[in-house]
Amino acid sequence: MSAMHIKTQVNGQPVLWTADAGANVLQTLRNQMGLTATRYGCGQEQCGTCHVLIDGQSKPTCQLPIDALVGHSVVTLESAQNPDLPSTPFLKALQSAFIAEQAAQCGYCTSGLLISATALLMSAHETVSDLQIREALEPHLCRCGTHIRVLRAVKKAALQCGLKVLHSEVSA
Amino acid sequence: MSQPFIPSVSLKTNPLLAQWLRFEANGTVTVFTGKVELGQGILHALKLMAAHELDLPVSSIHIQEANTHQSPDEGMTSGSLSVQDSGLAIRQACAHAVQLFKTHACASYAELRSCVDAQLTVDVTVPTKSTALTLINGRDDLDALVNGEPIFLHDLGINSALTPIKNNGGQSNINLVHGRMVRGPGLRSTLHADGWSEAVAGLLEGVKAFRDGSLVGVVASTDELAEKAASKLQRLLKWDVQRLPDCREGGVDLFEVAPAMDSQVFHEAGQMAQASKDSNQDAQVYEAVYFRPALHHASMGPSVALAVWESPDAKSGLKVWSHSQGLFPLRKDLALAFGVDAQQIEVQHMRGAGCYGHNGADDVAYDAAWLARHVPGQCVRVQWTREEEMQQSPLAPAMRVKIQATVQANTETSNADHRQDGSGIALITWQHDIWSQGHSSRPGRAATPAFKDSWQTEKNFPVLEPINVAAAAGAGAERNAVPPYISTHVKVNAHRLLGLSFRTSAMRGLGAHANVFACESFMDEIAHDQGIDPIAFRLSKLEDPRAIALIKTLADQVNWLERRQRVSQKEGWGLGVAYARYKSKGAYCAVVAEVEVTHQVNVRNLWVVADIGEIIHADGAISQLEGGAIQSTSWALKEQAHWDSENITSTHWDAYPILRFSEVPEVQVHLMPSNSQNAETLNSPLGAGEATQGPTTAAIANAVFHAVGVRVRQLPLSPDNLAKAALA
Repeated sequence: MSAMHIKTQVNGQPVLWTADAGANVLQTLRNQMGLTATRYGCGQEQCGTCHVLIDGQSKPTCQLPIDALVGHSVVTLESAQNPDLPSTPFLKALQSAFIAEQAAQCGYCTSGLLISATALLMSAHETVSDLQIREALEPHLCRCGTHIRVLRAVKKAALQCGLKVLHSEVSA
Repeated sequence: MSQPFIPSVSLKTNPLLAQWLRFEANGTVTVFTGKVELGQGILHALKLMAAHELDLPVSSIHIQEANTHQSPDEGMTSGSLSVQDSGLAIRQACAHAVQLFKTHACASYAELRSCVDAQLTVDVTVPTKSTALTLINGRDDLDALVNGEPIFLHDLGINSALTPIKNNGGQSNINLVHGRMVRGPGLRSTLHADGWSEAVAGLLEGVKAFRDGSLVGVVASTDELAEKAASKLQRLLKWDVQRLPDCREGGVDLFEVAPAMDSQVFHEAGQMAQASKDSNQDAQVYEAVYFRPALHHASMGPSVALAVWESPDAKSGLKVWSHSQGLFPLRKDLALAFGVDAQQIEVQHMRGAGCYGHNGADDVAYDAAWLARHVPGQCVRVQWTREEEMQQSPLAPAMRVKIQATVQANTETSNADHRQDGSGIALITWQHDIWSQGHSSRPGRAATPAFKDSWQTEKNFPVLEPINVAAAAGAGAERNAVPPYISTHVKVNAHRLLGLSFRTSAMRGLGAHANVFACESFMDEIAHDQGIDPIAFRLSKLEDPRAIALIKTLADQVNWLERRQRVSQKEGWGLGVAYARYKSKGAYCAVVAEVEVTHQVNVRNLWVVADIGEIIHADGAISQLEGGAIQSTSWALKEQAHWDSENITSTHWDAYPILRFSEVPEVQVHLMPSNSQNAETLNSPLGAGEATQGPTTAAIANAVFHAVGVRVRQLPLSPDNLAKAALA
């Protein structure tokens, strides 16, 4: 098995990864860097627990080979400590809103939800709608059933970030 | 407080004050509990109860995570009992501590350290504070969750900075290795031992493979290496397989193909055999069969465990880290499996992903301990894959329910008004039959271990047949099978299916989900046929004033009659209701569901009202009820396990879809205001975690009937089952 050396950027810092060819980003983030926010849920890009921001877009990492990161920047939940990143104000607003709305039970899916919501708020122009939020969170499963609280929290954070929230009510 | 003289179950088994509380030198108080965090926020609720009773800020209370060497043995964290069992024990211990505090004129709880004898028994006659209306603090573990901190067992041991064992210098002297299991398909399979030498010959250096009978596993220095070695062995090794019965719709025919059946009368009231004397020639007989398929727990994080045998001969000093629901039962079965004294084993709890019943936590703990025994002194971490979690952990059993009832005009009240409100007709007989495998395969209950992989070793432990726990413990398949409605003659028969090659066990609500779905659908069918409003019909057949108040509150909240009228004018829309008191003695819950039926069932709104007695932490309870309602919506609309002739095949999320964000309804939860300053009228707290499972599914099915006039008696309410029911 040949070891590879990969230069990339994680949470605003340059890093040099040494890993076996074929190693995936999730394993490397967790096992090599000890970044535990990014979690293993299915290994098949079907549940959303392993999402990170790659160049500002929310992507699963459980099947992503590490060499795909050359020349790209990765942002995980641990980036909230770095005020220089453009994602940080959005992430911090979301973290506060998740606490305010008590939008977690077991919290295993929380990291992935925060990452996709961050990507949504970063890319939003002036407004964000119910439907857009649900679409952005669609790749994420939550088994405890905290969805309603999560939706509330994302809306709260959106307002905090100066976005207008468009509501749609579904009832007879 | 109205019940200071009835100690909780946990206090009876753990009567000493020191088993619950430790007073620290800095004035803070450490609280011990045998209950564990499963994502439900229980440790937070217990902390609030202690802080309130001791009159301390929440930050002065530390809850010790459960450990078999330190914590009171409270059995399982299950059945929505943690507030009743652990909470009331802690509250009583705290009330006693407050009394001691006053007696000794202490300035702080630190001074109680010298006053409390280690053998002091908690005085159950000390009155506790009456209510807990002010407990609104949010969960303090959410900060760590939103920052992705390493608080899950899944994070322990993934690298040298997160090692589980530290000596005084903070550095571990115990080597950590990664393990994986290799198994044949199905419940039990026999390894072709002749291929073993060849298969292991080609393994990379640093990988060790072990075999005991037909159980195979590997350890390696990294998880990646262990994974590669395991998948190589999986490819090369061959097994003789025990075949599974054909898969029909999640097990709809298992009651016919089961090799054996144990039929018991679970409940009988009145005299069913004499019932014909009470019915006249106008009596109408109703009969319907309902079905709930086998389901997966489908926790977000596959199970994980770490284990180390500290003695060089691997006969003592086993330490295990687990996210099990029951550390003491797990320890008991580990002792059985390895033939060592339970006192030689320490099990430490650390949280896992959300747990909704008997998932893979105990089994993976056995795997880690079994692998660790081959490498004494080294700590083995085993992280199951998604496929293992879906295939190896027990299923929630498929359930078939048949209800028959005799209905006739009530001779006492037979005028037209009474007919409209339901009191004009009477339920003369009600018979409820259940066909299901047992609902518990949990550790700690048999003379041989409950771990699936332990059945594969040379020791040849028997496959354990799933059981139903006793009625006093809430029953299993029979849970909520006794109808809450007034009926002259009632009989419940339970037929436990035996000898099927599926491992089934407890999942949130156990039999209550299918039984309430059946009972509440059936009530709806009778009401419709008799031309009675479904809420009026239920109210006319209930006696319990708390149940009646609950349903009336829900009807007011949704503006039932007006909304049902309005909804019925919109094509494809419907409104349905259901009610149950969980376990017939727990929390009361009623649900109204609003659906829109297109090519599929879309649940748009759920209104939940619950009476959970004394409210400890309102937001925590609402969160549990809301989460339960959403999970039940997922079960109702989408879920059904499947298998082929050898193995379970619903092993990933594409094959076992659960509810996604686009499908989640709005949910509003209202708690009945049961808190009271009056000790006489304060109802004791009841767990909220499982109360919505049955009523939500039933309310959705009833709403579907209201929407399109199709009675779907087979779950899930999928397009296929909807179409089938429409053509029936």
